[in-house]
This record gives sequence, C-alpha cells and structure tokens, in this order.
Amino acid sequence: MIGNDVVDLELAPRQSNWRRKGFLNKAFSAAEQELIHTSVNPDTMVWLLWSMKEAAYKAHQREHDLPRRLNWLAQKCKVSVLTLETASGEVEIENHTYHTTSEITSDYILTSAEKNRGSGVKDGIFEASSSEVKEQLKKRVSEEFALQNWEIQLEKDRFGMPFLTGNDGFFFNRFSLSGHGRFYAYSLSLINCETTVKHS
Amino acid sequence: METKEIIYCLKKIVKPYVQNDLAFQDFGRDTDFIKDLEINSANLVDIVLDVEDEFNIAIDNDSMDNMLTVNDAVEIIKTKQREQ
Repeated sequence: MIGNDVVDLELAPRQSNWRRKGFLNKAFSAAEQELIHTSVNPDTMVWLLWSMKEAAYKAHQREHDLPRRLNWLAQKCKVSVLTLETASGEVEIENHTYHTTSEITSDYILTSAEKNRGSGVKDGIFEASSSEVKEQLKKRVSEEFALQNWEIQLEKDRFGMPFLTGNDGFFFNRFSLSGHGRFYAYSLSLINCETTVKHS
Repeated sequence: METKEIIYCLKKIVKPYVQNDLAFQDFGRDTDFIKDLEINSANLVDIVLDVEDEFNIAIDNDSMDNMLTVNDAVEIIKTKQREQ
C-alpha cells in the first residue's frame, strides 16, 4: 500500500514553531531529535522526518483500514540516504516497515511511502488552490496513466482518506493525495491495483 | 469544570489553526479537527500543547492518539483533571 505527504517549506515555518517547548517530544523519538539537532539544516530535517511519518502512516492506514491517529511517536524513522535534493529511508509502524523516498527542493519536501518497493508508484506535484485541485488532479492522472476515457472522480472514505474512482464503480486503492500550502501531490500505482467496488 | 466551559476554552485554543472557517461556525462536540476544521497535522501538536498549558494537565501519548474530535478532547481533559 502507498501513502504520500507534501510540506510547503514556505508555509511550514509560518504555521508551526517546532522549537516551541514540548513540540519535539510529542512527535519525535530521542534518536530522531538527535538527527534534527545534529543536522546542518534542522528545519529541513524536521519536515523531512515529519513527511516520512505522515506518508508512512497514510500507507499503514490504507493497508489496515484504520482511522487517523495522533501517534507520531509510534512511527519510527530511519534515514538511510540523504543528499541536498533527495532522501530515502524507512518508517516502522507496529512492526510494519514502509520504505520512503523524498524529494527536497527549496519550495517543498515530497515523500512517498510504500510497503513493497518497486510497485510502480508514480508521484506528481502541482500548484493549485483548493477549489482547483479536483480538476487538476483528474487531468493529470488521466494524462499520465492514459486513462482519457475514464470518468475519474475524487472521493473520500469513512476515515476521510481520499480515493479515486473510475468507470463502473471501480476504485483505485493504491492512491494517496496530500496538500499543503501552495502544493498538492499524489502517488498512484496501477500495478496490482485492486480495482474493485468500494463500499464506504 | 463544566463541559460547556471546556468547549468554550477549546474553541479559543483551536481558532488560530482552523483552515475551514465555515465548519468552525458549527464548532461543537462532534467537530473533527482534521475532517471538519482541516487543521494541518503539525498544528495538532500545537493544540495538544495548548490544551496542556490551558488546563494545566499532561496528555500522555495514548490519550493523544485518540484526540481527533472536540468530544475526544473534552473527555481527555475531564479524565486528566479528575486524576489530579
């Protein structure tokens, strides 16, 4: 199963002060805090780890059909590769491991997480306002996955998780959508996609 | 502390983080911080910290886990205040 998360790096520092007393202890383990404090760019590291946790939890939620939880400490991050523009690592949640890959730019951090590597996930990111997101997403997904004849719709399940439906009640369960500030990002894989009827 | 009073305090705490002002107009026990108010996930940490400060309680990780709605928060606050 897959999940993704985008952090708008222009908005994040205006929205959240992670240096606030107690903040790190609520969301990051001692090992993760060590990574933050020893990083040459602590702000980037905070939001990288944050996006890894969020992306992995979304994959975990979909895998096990779970409601949202505020349990960032139960999501343990390991960063194995870190460059100025990319990162990859693992997030462990209740004995399940999710592999993450992240793109780091001066504008955003985009992470996608998947249970099994090499499952054909394609990531896309675009700028849109909340009123434009549905149309933009449909257009992009139709083009990238050659689904021009599909009536793609964006819906949400009982836990508020977004999913895409196509023709005849089919839905794409290997999908994730994340929005923050200027950006929306999606992950979608059609490989091994159980396009069965969703009853939410 | 009365439930009404707690909800009144929570409304003040949550206000600066709300992304959906329309849903905020109907703020009540059933309001969901993420689904209804569309609060950014990192700001949920701020809300937990603000609640701890305002009500002078410590919210452990297991309690934080389930703090998804106003009602969840009310119950956690009441439990923690009773424990003190």
